[in-house]
Amino acid sequence: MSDASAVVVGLDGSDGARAALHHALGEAARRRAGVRAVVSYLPTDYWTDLLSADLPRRAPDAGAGATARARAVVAEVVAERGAAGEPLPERPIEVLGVAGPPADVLVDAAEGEALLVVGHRGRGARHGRLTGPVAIGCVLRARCPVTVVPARTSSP
Amino acid sequence: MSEGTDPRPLVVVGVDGSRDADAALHHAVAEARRRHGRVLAVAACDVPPWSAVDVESLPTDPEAVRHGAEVRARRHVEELLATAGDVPVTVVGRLGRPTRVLVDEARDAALLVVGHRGRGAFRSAALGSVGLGCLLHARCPVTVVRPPARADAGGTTPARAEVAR
Repeated sequence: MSDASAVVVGLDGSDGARAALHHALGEAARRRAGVRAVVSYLPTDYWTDLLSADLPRRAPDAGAGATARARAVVAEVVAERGAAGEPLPERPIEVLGVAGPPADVLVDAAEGEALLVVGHRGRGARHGRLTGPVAIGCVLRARCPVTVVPARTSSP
Repeated sequence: MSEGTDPRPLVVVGVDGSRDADAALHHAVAEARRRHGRVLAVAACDVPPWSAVDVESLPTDPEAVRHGAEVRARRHVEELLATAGDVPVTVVGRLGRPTRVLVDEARDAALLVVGHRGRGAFRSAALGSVGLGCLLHARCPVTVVRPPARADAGGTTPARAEVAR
């Protein structure tokens, strides 16, 4: 039964990704499924935005940093939901760092899974309501259902 | 998340008779069941502009067009959802561009579900456009669903097991 497969969610530290994580946790709780939070990263050479600003110049392992930040976001969102009395999945939440372009990584990670959840916009997009390229790429290529979640408008 | 007259969470789904829309409908029913919510299935029919068509072939009454689409959609949904009796499903026909209609109907919804590709109510359309438009404009989460791969062996959509045909 597909309820045994996981809900995969893309994380990148943006508000959209937090909202996506909220949605994914609720989905997984309702489905009694696990959650796999996937963060993609690129080697430092390819970073062209502020993603690397809080890291040492020559980060030895980009994946470790990205995964650690993703873990922190997961812990925060789990705490938020716990405090608000919102449902959480029973199984532990898996956090996975994968090197590669975000959409490719997420589409691969969601192969054969129940659902892929992504934020409306990713990092680097602060304004407007246009859907980000990662979300579009996932919708175009993933075989499983893909849910695109807009950033939460009100609550933090 | 959804506040309205009916307190049950609302899942809105676009239906147009295509395989993708059918998969979306099953997905929407499964989502609504898990949420103890209800489904609003929307058949949007876009009447082409007067200038674009042979005037004599045009239906004279938009309301008749809307009603016809609603009746067809309702029949189709009832056939498709023979086993979904536990989830309340409402079928409505709406005149207008599908994207705008769906986004509007889903303004207070917990979720909007659309097929990956579909077809226009009257003519084939290069779709993905409706799904894309919903992604761009909807205020609620939007789920895009593909039909299961051929042979219906897998369970790409969770509701597939409930298909009765």
